[in-house]
Amino acid sequence: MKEPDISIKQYVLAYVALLVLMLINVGIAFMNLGWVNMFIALVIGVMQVAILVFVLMQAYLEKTVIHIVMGAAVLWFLILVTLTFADYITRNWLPIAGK
Amino acid sequence: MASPARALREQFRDPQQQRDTATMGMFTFMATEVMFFGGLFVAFAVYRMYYTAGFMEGSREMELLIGSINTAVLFTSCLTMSLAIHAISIGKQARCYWLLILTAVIGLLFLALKFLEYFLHYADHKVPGIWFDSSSPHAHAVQLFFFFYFALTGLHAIHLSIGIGLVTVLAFRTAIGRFNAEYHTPVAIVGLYWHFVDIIWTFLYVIFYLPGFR
Amino acid sequence: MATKEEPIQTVARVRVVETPSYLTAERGILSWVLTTDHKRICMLYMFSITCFFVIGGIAALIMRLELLTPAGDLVQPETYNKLFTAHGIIMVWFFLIPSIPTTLGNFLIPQMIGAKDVAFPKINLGSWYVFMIGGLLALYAMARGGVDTGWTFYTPFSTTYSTTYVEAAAIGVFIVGFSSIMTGLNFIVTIHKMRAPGMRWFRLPLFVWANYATSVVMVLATPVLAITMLMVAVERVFGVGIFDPKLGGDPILFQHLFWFYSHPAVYIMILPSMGVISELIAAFSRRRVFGYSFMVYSLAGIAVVSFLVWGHHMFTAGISVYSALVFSLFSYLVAVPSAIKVFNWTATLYKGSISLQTPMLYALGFIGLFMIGGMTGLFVAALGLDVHLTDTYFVIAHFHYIMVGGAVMAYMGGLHYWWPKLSGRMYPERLAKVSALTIFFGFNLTFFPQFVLGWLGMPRRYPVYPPDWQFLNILSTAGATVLGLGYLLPLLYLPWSWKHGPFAGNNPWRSTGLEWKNASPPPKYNFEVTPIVTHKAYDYEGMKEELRLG
Repeated sequence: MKEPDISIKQYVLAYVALLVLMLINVGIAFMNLGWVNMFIALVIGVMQVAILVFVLMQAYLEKTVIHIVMGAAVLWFLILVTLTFADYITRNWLPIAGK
Repeated sequence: MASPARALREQFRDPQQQRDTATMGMFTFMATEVMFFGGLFVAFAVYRMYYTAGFMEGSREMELLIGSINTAVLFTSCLTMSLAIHAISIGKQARCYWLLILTAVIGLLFLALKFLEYFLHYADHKVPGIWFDSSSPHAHAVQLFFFFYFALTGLHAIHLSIGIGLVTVLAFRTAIGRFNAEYHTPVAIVGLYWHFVDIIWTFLYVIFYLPGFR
Repeated sequence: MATKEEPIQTVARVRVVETPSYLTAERGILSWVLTTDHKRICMLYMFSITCFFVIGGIAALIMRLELLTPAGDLVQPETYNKLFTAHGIIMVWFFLIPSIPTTLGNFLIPQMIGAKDVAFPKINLGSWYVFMIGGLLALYAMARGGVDTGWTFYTPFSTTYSTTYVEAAAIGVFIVGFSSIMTGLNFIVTIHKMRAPGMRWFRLPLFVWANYATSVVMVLATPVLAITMLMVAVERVFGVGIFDPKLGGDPILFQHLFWFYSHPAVYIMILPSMGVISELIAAFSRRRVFGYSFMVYSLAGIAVVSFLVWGHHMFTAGISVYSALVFSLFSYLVAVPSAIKVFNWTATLYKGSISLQTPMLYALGFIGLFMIGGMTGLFVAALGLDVHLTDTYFVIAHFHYIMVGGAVMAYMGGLHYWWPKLSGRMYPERLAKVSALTIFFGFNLTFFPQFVLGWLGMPRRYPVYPPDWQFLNILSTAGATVLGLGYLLPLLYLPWSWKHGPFAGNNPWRSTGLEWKNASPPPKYNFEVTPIVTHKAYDYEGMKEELRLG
């Protein structure tokens, strides 16, 4: 494996960042901002995942092929979401029943 | 004492190839897990779009405190797991052992809290298929919400349990000297899996616990 | 038996055995059921999928017998439902999807890349056990009375109203999905990490590329099937209403999730076949494949675009017209790389030194039948036409042209081509040619009338039809009988040749490729010394040079 490129101090900092982000997320959950709530919550979630992936999993140190695998996983999930929602969002746009 | 050097399997030319193979295998497996949970996430998203009010109501029924504590608990276990890998990579077998044990124990704490949550939902009659009743005008949507809650957190709990088992086995193997600074690939691989399970939880927390406008 | 046309080198009857082959290296049943040798795992799978093929085929034959007469007089309508469900589930998940990857793929990929085994041999064995458990569960559902939902498990019938053993079948499919994922994961990592020195990506045989593309599709699509089947089982068992309109569920959501996997699944079935055909066409034209890089890009293109078209199974289900337009467009796009491959195979034949051995007959048959299947796919990809053709025999004919006329013929061709390598023996060539021609004739007689029937409006999954259509149905059933006989012959002569066929040498076809460099059958670890690769794939020019220079 690689030599520890990430020191103990950096791990602990990442951990604290994760907790802080969580507290921010909870705080925002108590504000009523409409649809923005879910959006911000997801963005903070993605930031936490980024810390997990890049610091705690040291994914950026891996070879290119691993980056491609991670990218493919995200991309394919997005394909599933996008094309499924393409149907649900565009329903009832025509004045014809069932189209 | 089992020697790490004898760990090179027949089909490999050298230890580096074996390491790279194991790493790529685990990342590819994680890609399949993304799609596996992804199917449920998409279904959840579709129904959330249709039944936003009912799903918000479902979120209000969530135990936010327990859920938040659990999130912190899992983040802590990720820290201890990373520190365990760090320890073994600089040859500190004893430290690695204790950190792995700590990781497993924290994982068990998560499961205990989750079990408590499930029990509270059961007492509240919010378990679809077993005991569900709701007087809300959005009862059907709340039931759908709870189906996704139990399905996703249940699957997550199963994955976490497997992780706890793996970490415990790793701890045992560390104790008998299987790993050292040169060879500790299984520890790194299980670490990847452990972090991935936490990634799933991060999204579950966001979609179930936080919405609701309390 | 060497004759003037057949360029096989028959070694003397007495074999001098140096290194034991993978077949004889270890003995006893435990050495087979606990093996981690990819070649033995190939044989385990080959045995299993052949059994499933026979069961699925019997279901089809009973259906065709029922359809001899317009009235529903052979079986009850409910039984007919169970028959087409059994046929679909078994043929799709327990025959076609595993077929080439788990048999030929398992056997050949490590050899073709110059490796000793796959990356994860124990996971390889595990995948066979998972396959068998899933298969036995599905057979249990059949034995307990069958399932009547169709292989597509559409909700809410499958989740709420069907009274048959849907949960068992759904869980069986859920389990076998993991076998697929394990195989795909193994191949991806093997091809990335286990190549011999000098075996660069663009020196790989197209069979390896095809299985790589297939594995990527397997790994990304199958998990969605798994979760969907789990949801179906949970809904049935616990009565939660995920897809039940009464409880606010959306049946079309099931279809989206199901077809997200099941469309790429059909490409899982055809991509490995394309790999086999590339190998056969090259070997029996003694030429490199024309346009190698475009063949690779086409494989990748098919694999990716296959994920963008699933809605074409749902055009009449109630999805929005706008999303249907998008799916239709992508469905036309995905035909382009397939067409490129057909052109390149044809160009490979041009000025090649063609010999019409059995594998080549299968390969040539594939090209024609795959083309018909592919072009009729364009008919159903058109929104307007699909309204008329969906759920008719036109669709059935379309996909059987690809699955049977394409995939199964490629499997048979590959099986015959690599049989000498697998078994060390040659199959009987003349009998094999007769089977190939019987299969080709029987297949067309079975399925071409079905295009006409579908166009005329005969619905699928119906045991009864108007008397006007009886003649075409009789033709189809006659064809099915001939097809069945055609499949029966190899089922008999291949095992026969195992013991009684003439010994084949290392390379009876004088083909390029690393798999022909070792003994037939190969030793347990494939190569005495790890090969170092310096040539491109299909280097027949180089081989001619070497022979010329002595």
